[in-house]
This record gives sequence, structure tokens and C-alpha cells, in this order.
Amino acid sequence: MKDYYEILGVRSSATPAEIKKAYRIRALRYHPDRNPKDPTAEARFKELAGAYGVLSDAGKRHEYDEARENRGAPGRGRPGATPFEADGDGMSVEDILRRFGGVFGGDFGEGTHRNRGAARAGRDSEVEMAVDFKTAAIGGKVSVSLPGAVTCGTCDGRGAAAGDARCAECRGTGRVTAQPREDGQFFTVTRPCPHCLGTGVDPARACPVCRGAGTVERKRTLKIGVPEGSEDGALLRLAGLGEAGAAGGPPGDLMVHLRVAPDPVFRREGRDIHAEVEVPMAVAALGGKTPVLTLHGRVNLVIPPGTSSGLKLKLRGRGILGGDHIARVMVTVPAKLTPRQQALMAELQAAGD
Amino acid sequence: MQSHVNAELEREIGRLRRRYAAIRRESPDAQELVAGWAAEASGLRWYVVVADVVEADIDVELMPEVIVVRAVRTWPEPAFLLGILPVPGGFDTGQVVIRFSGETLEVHVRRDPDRGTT
Ligand SMILES: [Zn+2]
Ligand SMILES: [Zn+2]
Repeated sequence: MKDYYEILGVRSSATPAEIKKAYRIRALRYHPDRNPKDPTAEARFKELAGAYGVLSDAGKRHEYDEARENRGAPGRGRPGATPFEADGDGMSVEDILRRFGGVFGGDFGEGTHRNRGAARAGRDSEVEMAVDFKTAAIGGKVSVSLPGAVTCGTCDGRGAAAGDARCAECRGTGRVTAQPREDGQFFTVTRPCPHCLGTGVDPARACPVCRGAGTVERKRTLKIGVPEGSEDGALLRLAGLGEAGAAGGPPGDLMVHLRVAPDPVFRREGRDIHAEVEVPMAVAALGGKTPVLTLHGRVNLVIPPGTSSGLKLKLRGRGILGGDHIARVMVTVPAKLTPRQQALMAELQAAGD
Repeated sequence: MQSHVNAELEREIGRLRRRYAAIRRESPDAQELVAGWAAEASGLRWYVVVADVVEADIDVELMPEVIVVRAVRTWPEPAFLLGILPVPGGFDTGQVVIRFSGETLEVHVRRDPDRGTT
């Protein structure tokens, strides 16, 4: 008695799904069409079918399991007739395929992949865009030029002037599919149609400008909206702004990599902006106001009396996305004092502190 | 030297993968196939793990810059599998040898001296 579990390479506790899977894989491996030079393949193929015929049927499997159990340890059992032996061995390859052919699948993707037509989604474009610090911080528009496929204006993307210009070879799909069974391979290979070069349009009736592709390569300039608070290295994904699709396919997306240059005045820390502010010595000592340049324009900063260099003063909401502008005070001392200023300084020094 | 070439291929494969991301968006429910590649003297070899799939349920579409593997799995649960294999310049998708053994699909793309300088 043959061990059907061993033939299929599964444990005796295997689930029906595991048995089916094991059969599919092995049966394809030993399919006679794939092994024309190997005479043992057909026998193996039939043996597999026999095993599967029994183990895939719950009733037969149960009977077989009992027989297998009663047989006891391997080698001690009597070699003999069981109702299962003939199953499969007696079948022709055609019988097997008729009976179990569904297991092999086949008919790949009909309707979902082969009949897609020539429509193709446009490719995604990628571009690096330099943005100045201020635009990145508060948002704005930046122009960028990039090459790529755009819809052909002559044929409006149809690939042909008018009427039915479908390629007869591929019926307008732009693809040809072959199943190279003769090489012993069962998958399908799809290639661009050699007649229309993948456009799906009859070359004799194709648009003279795009030659049937429906798109032409061109450099285009786009105005990209940079959102407020963009950081260096940020990626903007703009749906539909990539390359044009072919034969009615949707356009691709545009990915913009932002390169934000550092600013000589402003430094960013999250939503806050840090900058230094020069405060004249007298204002620092006595208190007062000094103008400060922020991302949102000039504002007057109140300097408390007795301010020293290094003091950080906060301008609320003047940073990025509601963050603050933090001004670090740099007290400036005049390089050259007038005689009067010198006198006043001397007096201040004499008054002591 | 070899690692330099591989780094360049890696970059180019990444760029093409992003460029052809629309293929993946066409099938939002698809499961992505795990794929790896190796550069050889004769060409570029892609390895795609297509587990639990019978050969007849695999379709390999050859395009100039990218090879798309589509597969239907019925076991253990139905699924549509998708693999996008970029083919950088210097390799010719018109000269491809495909083999399926066990659970690995092997796609060998020959070098093409007329295409690119990789
Ligand atoms: Zn045109
Ligand atoms: Zn055609």
C-alpha cells in the first residue's frame, strides 16, 4: 500500500487546504507537458493524482486512514490490494486534467489584466526644489521646471487623428501575451506589441506628432505651493501633477523634495524662530523699544531696563505656525565715543554700581 | 569597484521604483511581492518570492524600464500579488530569461551595451 501522505509530502494531520496546495505544487512539477524527456514524470504525475484523489475526498481519506492504521508499522504490513491503489494509476493524463485541472488555476487574470486596454497611468515625477528660508517658513509659491510626458496636443492624447485606429495585432491593448508552454513554463509573459510598439494604435493611422503614444516629452514649468512651516528635506506629494498617462490613463504624481537653505539671520527650532537683536547700550540700560525684524515683518520689541547681552525676549506668535520669535539681545557699544559721551561715561563709572 | 556599481544600481532602482509607483496605485488591494536583485557580468537578475502560487497564475509584463509581476493566489486565501522590478539603463527587457522553480521566480535581464552606461 502506497503512503499517499508521503507521496504528497504532507503530514497525516494535514488540512484539506494543505493537501491541495501540496498537490498543486507537485503536480505542476511533474506535469508531462513540462517533462517531455522524462518518462518517469508521467508515472509520478499519475501517482500524485492517485494520492490526491483519495486524500482530497473526506470519505475516502477516512477509509484510507483506517487501512493505514491497521497496517501498522511500515514494512510489516501485507502488501496488498486496497481500493485506493488503482485510483489515479489507472487514469490517463487527460482524465487527471479533466478531474483535477481546476486545481492548477490557469486562465490567468482574464478580464482583470489582459483586457486593460492601452490605458496606462502616467509615471510619477520627482524633482528637487530649492526654497529660501522665509518661503519655507511662512509658505508661498515657487516655480520649478521639469521634463516629462505631457498629453499630445495634436491628437488630444488619443494617439490617432480620429475614428477607430486600434492596432489589429493587439486589438488596441498595446500588449501581447504568450504562454511559453513549449519551454515547459506555465506562466504568461506580456510584452509591448511589436507592431504598434505598445501604443495600441495602428502605426499607419497614428498621430504624426506622438506616433500613437498620446504623450510627448516636454519640459514644463509648474508653480508649486510650499506649505507654511516646510522643513529642509521635506517631501511634497502632489497627486496628478506627474507625467501624463497614455490612452486615457490617469496622470502620475509629482514628488517635490524641498531643499531649504539656511538663513543668515533666522534660525529655526521647531516652530520657534531664533535671531539676535542689537540693542543700543543706553536702551539696554534704561529700557525702551527697539525694532526687530521677524518673518512677519518689523515689530517694536520692548526692552526692559537693565537688559544685558544674552537675554532672550519672546515675541509671541511671530514664529512659524503660531510659534514664537525669540530675540537674543546683543548690547552694542559705540566704537567711537564723542567727547560728550566720554564725559558721561566717566561720570557713570564714577557713580559706581 | 563592484560595491560602487551596486550602489549606483541601487539608487537607480530606487528612482525607477518611485517613478513607477502608479502601477501599485492601480491595484490598491495588491500584496507586494518580496524581490531582490543581483548584478552579474551577463546582466541583472531579479528574484521574486511567489509563494503558494501556481505557475499558471503568474504573469510577467516586460516594459522598457520596469518588469511587472502579477500573480493570483487562491490559497490559503485569495490574493492579488504584485511585484515591480525596475530595470535601470544598461539592461534590455527585450532580452529576458524567466524561470520559475519552487517558489521563486527568477528574471534574468541581459546587459545591453546600447542602453545606458551602467
Ligand atoms: Zn498625438
Ligand atoms: Zn499593437
